[in-house]
Amino acid sequence: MRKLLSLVILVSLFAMSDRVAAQDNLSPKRKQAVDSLALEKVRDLSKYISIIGDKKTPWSDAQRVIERAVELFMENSEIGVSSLGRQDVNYYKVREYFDRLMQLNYDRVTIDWYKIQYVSDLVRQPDGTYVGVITIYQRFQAYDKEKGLVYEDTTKKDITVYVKRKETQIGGRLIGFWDVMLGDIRVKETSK
Amino acid sequence: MRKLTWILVLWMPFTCLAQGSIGSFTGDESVFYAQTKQVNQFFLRFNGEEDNQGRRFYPGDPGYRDLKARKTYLNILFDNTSSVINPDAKFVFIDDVLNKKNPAFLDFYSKDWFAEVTATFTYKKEKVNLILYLKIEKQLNGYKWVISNVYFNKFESWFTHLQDTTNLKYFIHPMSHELDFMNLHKAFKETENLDFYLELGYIPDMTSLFVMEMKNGNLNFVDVNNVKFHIFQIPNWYFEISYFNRNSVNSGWLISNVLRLNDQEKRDLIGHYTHVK
Amino acid sequence: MSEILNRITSLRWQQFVIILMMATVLAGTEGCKSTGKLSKKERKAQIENAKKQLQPIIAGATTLTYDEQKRIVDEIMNKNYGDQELDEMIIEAQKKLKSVLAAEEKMNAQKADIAKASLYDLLLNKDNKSADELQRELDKIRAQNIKSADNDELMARLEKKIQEMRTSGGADLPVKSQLENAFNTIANAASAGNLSQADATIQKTLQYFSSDDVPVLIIISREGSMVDYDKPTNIKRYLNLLKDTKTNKNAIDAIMTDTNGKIKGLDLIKK
Repeated sequence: MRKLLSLVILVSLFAMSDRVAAQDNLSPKRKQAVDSLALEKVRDLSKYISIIGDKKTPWSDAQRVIERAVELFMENSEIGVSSLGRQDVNYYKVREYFDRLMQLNYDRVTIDWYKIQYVSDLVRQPDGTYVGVITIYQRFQAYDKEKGLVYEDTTKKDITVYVKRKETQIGGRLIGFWDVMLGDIRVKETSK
Repeated sequence: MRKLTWILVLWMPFTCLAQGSIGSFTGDESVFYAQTKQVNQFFLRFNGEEDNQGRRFYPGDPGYRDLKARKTYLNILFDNTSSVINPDAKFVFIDDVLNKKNPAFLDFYSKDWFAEVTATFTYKKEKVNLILYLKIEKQLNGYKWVISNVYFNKFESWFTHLQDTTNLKYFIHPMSHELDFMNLHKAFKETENLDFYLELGYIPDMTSLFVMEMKNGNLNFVDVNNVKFHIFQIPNWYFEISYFNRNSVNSGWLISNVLRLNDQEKRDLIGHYTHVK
Repeated sequence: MSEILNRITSLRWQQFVIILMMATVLAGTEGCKSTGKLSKKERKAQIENAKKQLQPIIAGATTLTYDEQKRIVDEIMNKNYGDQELDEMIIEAQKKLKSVLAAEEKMNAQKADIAKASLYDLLLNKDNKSADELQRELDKIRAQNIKSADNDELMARLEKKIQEMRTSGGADLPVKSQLENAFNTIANAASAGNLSQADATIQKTLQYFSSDDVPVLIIISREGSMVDYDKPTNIKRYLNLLKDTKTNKNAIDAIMTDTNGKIKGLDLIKK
């Protein structure tokens, strides 16, 4: 009987430690601050995409912004694009995606971002980095001088966000900061 | 139609979402708000852990896991165009999930759910489809998806004779041991009949074959075609969720099938899906 | 007057002559007003009254100001009652008034000194106050009504400085406000598509900093002693971020300057 009891205690202890580990030890307020930080990086990205896609952006500015946009991402991140018409997904390296965006062969391009966004929970990876997905929607329209609107789509972008707490010394101060990096992006055309 | 209007009204107030927004484009977003955009959102809506504007509820918040709100969400979390979902099954499922005594919840971190990923590969230069089964596994204090099983009809075709008890031709006779099994080389000559020589009830390990063929360079990954999830977490129920990409408030990740099953039936179904008996 | 006449007629002749002589004497003195033909009784009452007025002044038990006290003493003295006791009291009161004046002047000087120190601070604007804040401080000092030619000059100078701050579009604003203005200008100019203005403001703003890579820290959450930051960046990158994202989402939390007065560290906080 005693053996059984200790077994029960042992099992419930395990179950408890498991629950604690599964939970975030961040307070909701701090968690929300990290969520909004992640969201802000995605917002920055959306603005960079608009600048890069804008035909009026001077070449040098576009180049600088591409650099900054690329810096938002983890190395080797890819953008996987699919459209309604075809099954397969085209994969682009982040820089390649931005370069293509800059060189699009239209006279004018408008990129609008819907106001909606959805931020998932952050889940801890085995290496201690937290990972989440932020979903946003974009409308893309391309115009030709003569023909007017020649292409239009609305895409859902599911953006991987990696969040890791790090520490660094700055001016003798120990700073605890959240390193937010974007990862792979899945771009899916939505039904019209 | 009345139902649709009701759903629309339900999702409408989102246009006033105050929390920071990505853009300023004011196109009609009601579909995107209503859409179950992530599996994560499916879980939160199912559990009543976010409000109708997508804002998280934390334990202790008013509205957290509210049964009334969950009833509304659960109705919306079904593919309402489905012909496989029995309306009575849906009704009973919701009723059972929300039973006041012991309401059921989904847990991302617990077992009894897995992903089914249909993917394109090339097998010796030929385009083929494989199904990968993945589940969440804990490592240290973190989590990861791991491949728990693979299904590839080519692999299965190598084992078609496994259950064949009528074969009277391909066997290693019972006195072969006296001859140091010198007759094995005959058995191995015709590889298409190799599986006749295996023990009855042998279960081939598809995952091993997958790893071997990948490592040998015969199998190469191309792309993911489709993803769905099989959820066995609710006592006495199994359901499947799939992504519906359509211009409708009833879109995104939705329940595409639901069945009332006892534990044995669940095990059988898992076996059916993962091809493990 | 008729009352006086009645009285006169009721007097005996000799008495009349004496009174007449006295009146002539009185009329000859300065202090005698046109109505001032006082009876002995009346004069005595007035002297008593004057004594009563002087007593609290001598005792220092009055709530009246120095000026009011001085006016009372002067009036009594001018009446020249010629009462010895009163005259002594007048001298006492004057002595007292002198010491009151000295104390009041001392106090005024002290107040003026304090005001002067404040005016110096305001003129140098060490605390980076805005024009409005400076104006408020100046008005407070003015309201004290301290007599000081020095301070009047300082106040005029401060007034001029405030005017200049208002008209020069912030060139003399405290650094914090100038930076915040610059951040807004960059974001707004970029938002309006005026990239050259944004670029010019970036160049101008970089002048405040000891270098382009001065660290910029952004506080995303502060809970007790637990402070969470965004990834550290530098000022040049931050200013470009304002331009590219076309929004200014952070407020200034702290500015660290080096010995040359240039900024060597900047802490921002999410608005």
